[in-house]
Amino acid sequence: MNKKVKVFFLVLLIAVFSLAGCSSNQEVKQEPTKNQGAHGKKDGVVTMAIISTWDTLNIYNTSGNYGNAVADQLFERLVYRDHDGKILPRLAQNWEMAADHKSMTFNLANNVLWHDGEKLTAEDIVFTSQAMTSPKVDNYYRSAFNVLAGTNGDGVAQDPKSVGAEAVDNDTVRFTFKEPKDPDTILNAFLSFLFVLPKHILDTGDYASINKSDFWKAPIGAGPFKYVKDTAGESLELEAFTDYYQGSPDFKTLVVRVVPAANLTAGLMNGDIDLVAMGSIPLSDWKTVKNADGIEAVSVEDYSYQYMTFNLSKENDSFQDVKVRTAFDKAINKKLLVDKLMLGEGSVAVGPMPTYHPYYNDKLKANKYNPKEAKKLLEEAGFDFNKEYLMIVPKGNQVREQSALLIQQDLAAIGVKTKIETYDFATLLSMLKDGKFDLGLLGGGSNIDPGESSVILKPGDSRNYSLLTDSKWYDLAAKGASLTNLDDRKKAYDEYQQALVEDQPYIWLYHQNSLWAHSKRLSNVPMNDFVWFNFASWKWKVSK
Amino acid sequence: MKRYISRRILVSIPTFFGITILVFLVSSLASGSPLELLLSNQNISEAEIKRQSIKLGLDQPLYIQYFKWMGNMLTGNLGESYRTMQPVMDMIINGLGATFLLAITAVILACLISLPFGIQSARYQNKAWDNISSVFSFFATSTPSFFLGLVFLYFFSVKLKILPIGGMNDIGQENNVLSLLKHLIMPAIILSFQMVGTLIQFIRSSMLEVMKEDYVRTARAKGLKERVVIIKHVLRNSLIPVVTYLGMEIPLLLGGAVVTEQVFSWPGLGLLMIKSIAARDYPVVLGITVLVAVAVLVFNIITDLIYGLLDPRIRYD
Repeated sequence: MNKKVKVFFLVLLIAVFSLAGCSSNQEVKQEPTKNQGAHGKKDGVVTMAIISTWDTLNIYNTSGNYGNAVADQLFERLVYRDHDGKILPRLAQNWEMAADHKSMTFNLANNVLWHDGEKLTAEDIVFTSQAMTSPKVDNYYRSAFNVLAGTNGDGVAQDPKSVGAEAVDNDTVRFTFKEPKDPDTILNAFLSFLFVLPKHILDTGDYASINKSDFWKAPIGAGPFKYVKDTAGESLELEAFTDYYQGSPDFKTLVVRVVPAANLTAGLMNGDIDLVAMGSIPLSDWKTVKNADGIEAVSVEDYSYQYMTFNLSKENDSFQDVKVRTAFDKAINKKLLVDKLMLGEGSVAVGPMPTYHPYYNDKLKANKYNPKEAKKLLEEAGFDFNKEYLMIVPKGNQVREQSALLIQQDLAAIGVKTKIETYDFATLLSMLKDGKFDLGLLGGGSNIDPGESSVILKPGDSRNYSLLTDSKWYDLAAKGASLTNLDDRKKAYDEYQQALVEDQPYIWLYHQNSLWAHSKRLSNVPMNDFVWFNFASWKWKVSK
Repeated sequence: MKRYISRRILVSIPTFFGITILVFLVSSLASGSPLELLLSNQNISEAEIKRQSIKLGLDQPLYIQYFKWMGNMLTGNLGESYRTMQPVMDMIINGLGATFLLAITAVILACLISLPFGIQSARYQNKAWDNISSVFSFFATSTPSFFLGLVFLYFFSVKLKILPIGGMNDIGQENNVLSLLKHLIMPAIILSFQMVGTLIQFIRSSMLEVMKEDYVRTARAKGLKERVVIIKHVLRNSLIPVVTYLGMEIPLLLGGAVVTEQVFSWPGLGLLMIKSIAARDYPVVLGITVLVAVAVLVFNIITDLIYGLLDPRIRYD
């Protein structure tokens, strides 16, 4: 070999090795600091992984779960909720519903500070309510505000003064409602979205300025962690707010990082990730994570649900007969989906509410898996066995994609021919809207309000994926929402669930558990409560 | 020369507009609207989404949307993202730095690896060295980067625990070059792998051709040292296909290495592009596409100019 070329190779080799050397040296140097972080009580860095970005720190304009995971660190809500739906005090120490159920008063903790040191008062809550109902402000979650007096059905108030929110004194806020409301509805549906914003920063006299305000680039909240900086929606660095009114967090830095689901396990194993909080660990990795030393793995019962839609529009007469839909429900072996596809980490769904839901109807008479009966029902209904039915499935949820194949086999067993087509979510939604499908698989579930599922049963709403023309089921849920007596409400929602089982406008398939985990470096992490975006990060302890 | 450059730039302008029209049309053909997608969250209110659509002008006919977008773009405003509400320009500039760093490192690595391999293959054609480098180059070209990425992650992050699983920096280590290198090394190697295979083959075949030229025989006959012959006479004249290849590859890399960036959560344009497509965030998709289009046009001109430097026979007057 030519001398110069040899020299070149040597240089290359040295370069490569010195690079590798650098990195391992770096690791050796870094290890003590990492450990120091874990040792030194408040010096620690805790990294929380979520699988998708929060999009924007404007909590009223994020698309969903991942935004809420971040918002819970930065901002305060009046109350929070444990896994089973029990309401716990946060900003509000206690509350009282008026006898006429038309107003509700909240007493606030009186030592709450904003991250800039200003005091948080009832005025901030009033300001937030007025701003978020103003048509000048963009608020994706506005309909949650439509319980307040002075707002229309969409939650818009033309006159901010008329909005039913007033500061009785500095530490007391009172909401007034259009019509009598049950406290559960207010606490669950409305207050879930009322992240309090600082009046002293955002009140410029023009609500429209809130949308484009620089505030959202580095928001000032009153939550347990302060904003430090973020990188392109990929990682967010937060610092403990030592003056947090419930006590300073136990560690200095909380990093929220977007990590692809496939890398979660690798990150947990090598210590890059301390906590997986939003977006499940892939089932294929679950056993590894459960058996790993130093990792606490928790399978959390989730309130979301997966369901099958039928095309029930006037143009499609295949599924109009309730016998056909019942037959499908009886033909699908839901237990097998849970046991085989989810390795048992889930439960069979009868309706939108799982058995652990406070409003679950335990007298519900569910259809039993029985292919023989199912086939008989189809024959009685004169079902067209010669046609091939199109089942559309969104990409991205592996269990759901696999479930389509098992469902296809179950249906084939009773003589129903189906064709599965998989699309990206945006395409699938437009196909559903245009009725270009026979069957479809989707997921839902958003909050613990027993009526939250009714939106997919509301004729005219774009989430009416079965294209229902009958408002029967929506009306049943709406009746429940209008009642204020707990027993009456329970009864109304029992009827709602029973009607869904009898009529099967959708087939509810299963509730899949969330598979979360954290490093044993951390303790006192209420992982079960994460389902409602309640992370209680100020309570987490970092081990010495 | 100057006339040549200005002529090329003038020709590029209609091409550029053509590209924007095409991209706009194609993206409007994709079904699904960015805002309706949000409705899959049952907490989001439908009335609000309708109000937003009107506010953003999504209810307007396509050509009006195009002219509005074009008008804004000519003043340097690429609009705002539907997803993050931030100016698209800021988002692209944020991602561009990361992408540029990754792309340049990968290109340099690719050249460092493929030049010696390619040169030696050509010199010792059909010998052991040539065979090894052929096998290596086929392996490099045919291994999908997501797979290689996961294999690397398994070994270096999970087993050996010497490299991080992704991202660009450790918290509090933003100005630490070593920390950056640690994050950069895996994605850069994987990205360069895709180029290495092709480059080795390009260099090898083009050198073999040049080695048959009369002037090489003359050089040898003059008694020049072998390395001078190879480096000065053969290599230099073999670089045209390499330059062409890199001239096509670099602008595409600037648009972001979609797969690699996703596997390693590298906060560049590729990751941004994927997220934006899934969310039907058209302003961002269009912004990145325009950037890539401009880069392709610019690099085409640069490539042509480098031809002239490498081969004096190519003139542009």
